[in-house]
Amino acid sequence: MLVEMKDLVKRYQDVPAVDHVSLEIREGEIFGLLGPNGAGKTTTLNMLIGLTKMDGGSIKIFGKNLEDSAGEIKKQIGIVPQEIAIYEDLTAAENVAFFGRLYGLRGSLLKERIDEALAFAGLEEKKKQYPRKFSGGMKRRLNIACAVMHRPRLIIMDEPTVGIDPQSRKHILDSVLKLHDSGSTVLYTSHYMEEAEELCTRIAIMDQGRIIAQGTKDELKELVSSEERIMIELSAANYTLVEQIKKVSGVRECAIEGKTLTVIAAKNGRIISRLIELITATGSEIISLNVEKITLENVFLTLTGKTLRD
Amino acid sequence: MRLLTIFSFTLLKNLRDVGSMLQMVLLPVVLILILGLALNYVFEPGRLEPISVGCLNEDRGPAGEYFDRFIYSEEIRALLDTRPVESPESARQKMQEGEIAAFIHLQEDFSSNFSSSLPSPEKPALRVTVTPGSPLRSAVVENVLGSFIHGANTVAALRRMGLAETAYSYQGGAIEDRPLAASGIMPGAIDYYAVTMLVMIIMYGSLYACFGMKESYLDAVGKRIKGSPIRGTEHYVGLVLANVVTVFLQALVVIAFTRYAYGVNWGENLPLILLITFTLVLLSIGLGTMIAMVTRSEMLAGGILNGLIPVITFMAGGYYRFSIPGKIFSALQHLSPNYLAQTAIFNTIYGGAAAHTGALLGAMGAIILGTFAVAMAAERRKFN
Repeated sequence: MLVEMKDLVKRYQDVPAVDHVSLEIREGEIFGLLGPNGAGKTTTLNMLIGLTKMDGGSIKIFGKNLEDSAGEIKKQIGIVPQEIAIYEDLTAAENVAFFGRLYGLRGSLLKERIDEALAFAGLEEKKKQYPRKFSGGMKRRLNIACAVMHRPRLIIMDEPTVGIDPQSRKHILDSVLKLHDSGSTVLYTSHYMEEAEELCTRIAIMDQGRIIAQGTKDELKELVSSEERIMIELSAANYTLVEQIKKVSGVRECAIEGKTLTVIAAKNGRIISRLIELITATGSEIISLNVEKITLENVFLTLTGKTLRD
Repeated sequence: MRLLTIFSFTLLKNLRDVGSMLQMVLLPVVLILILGLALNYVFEPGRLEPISVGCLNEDRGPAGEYFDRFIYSEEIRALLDTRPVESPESARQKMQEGEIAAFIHLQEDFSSNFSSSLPSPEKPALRVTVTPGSPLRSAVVENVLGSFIHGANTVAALRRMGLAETAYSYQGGAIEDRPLAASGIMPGAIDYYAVTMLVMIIMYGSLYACFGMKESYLDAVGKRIKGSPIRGTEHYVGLVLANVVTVFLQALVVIAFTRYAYGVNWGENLPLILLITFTLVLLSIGLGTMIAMVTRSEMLAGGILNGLIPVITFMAGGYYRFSIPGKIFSALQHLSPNYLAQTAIFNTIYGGAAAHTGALLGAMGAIILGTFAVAMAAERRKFN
């Protein structure tokens, strides 16, 4: 195992931010840590890089205990923080050089890696420019270049695509795959389920400081495969109808938003027939009806009762 | 080596910050010139006008005659405007009304007491009353009368030795004219403001520490640096050193420019001036670091420093030289970094006691230790 976290605990004034979290990350995988704001993802990452003290548990990285060998471990980790952590008044090349020097690179190797990292981020033409003139997406890419220039074994990326344009987002996602192909292990946190679906080999879902599920994408989908999500758009809807639907055997949840009903129910063809009967009885017309394929978003909703962006 | 990386890149960033550089170097250079020219009159040595003195001479003996010749002579009139008064009561009245600054009373037994072979020290025959609150005028009156007493004492001593024919004879020469040159002994306006503006701008250097520590130690970049294989002390010391060197270089530019362009008197002991300057820079960076670590807010810390520095500069006489009445305000003034540094620099330039300068440097050293200790305690409090 590249990373082993056992029973990690972090409390802020007796409120648990991370509550007995255990995770294992294997060498060479892209591991996704998903959860809404306040789930405890960043606190977990901060403990992993020694920025926040643990109140309990243990962390081993590269087979070494973090508390005993922090300096040695950190040399082989690259960090892409959630906030853009670069100097606006140093050029792109100087920013990369600064972090490269902190990781011990010098001389011709440093120069070579600066060019390599900037090319990796698609910023080779901008090496002498100051980031204050960059777009948000370019800054995010430079943020990544500063983290990968020393070719770390483990790259920790904390929501690296927040608030950027689609082109930069695609560039970053492609970069993560390239890093993976070059042999790096990536720990990736995100709000975006579709990113996790596209990138991650294994995923852990975190909520209220706890890991509520973990496994491969298929394993997670299997967890909720006995249910489906039915979206019905109506000409008119009311709360009486919602209450009637909730009473149908096999229906776990029913919500209304405008004229659209969202029903979470056991996989069973009879339920849909029953729903159509109830709707027709109210005199409302069905404009559209969709049974959604199971996605990680559905998994999250099913497991936590809320969406990732809540 | 990682300390050197933090130091060199932070210094590079600071030196590239043109706005701050102009504020730290150009602003004091301009202010020194403006204040130095505009307030020059305040620093010019004034002319001493003759002091109004009331005199009652009741001695009819030879010493009394001698005293009249002495006190009303042209030479003494240049210093004392002596006016006869009728009685001690009338003199007191005139002193209360401010008409005269001192009252000289030569009593009737002055000559006989002086001529006696056994003069009675219990019977002082020459009394001087001065108004309080004017030490300079008192000193002038006392010195003039001292000259008279020396002459009278000499005559009395010769008579006691048997030279009875020795007479009181005033022939002038009681005052020796020694012109005082103010230049190099007391500061002119430009010399004064060069020191106070230098001190003020070094104190504004605390903003480098405040914003620098926030960005590179507490915020996102700082956290990222802490995630690298750097030791905490290398990170901290590298940042502090870069800020200290930045502000010290700016101070050197101000000192060099004012010395060669304005001819400001920085004294003969430049190494000591630079030591005081460096100590103040350390204090300023310590203060900025402490406030940044305690508040953890760039806005709040910047607001506190931008409010505090003009106040302590004013209290220390940085904009205008004045004395603060009241013990509490006076104590606060004496504890302000500006006052300590200014006094140490003036002391060094204008020949004050070395021990006093040492004590001032010691006080500044104690403040430096205090600020960094509080900053470190605040930093540890955060790491939980």
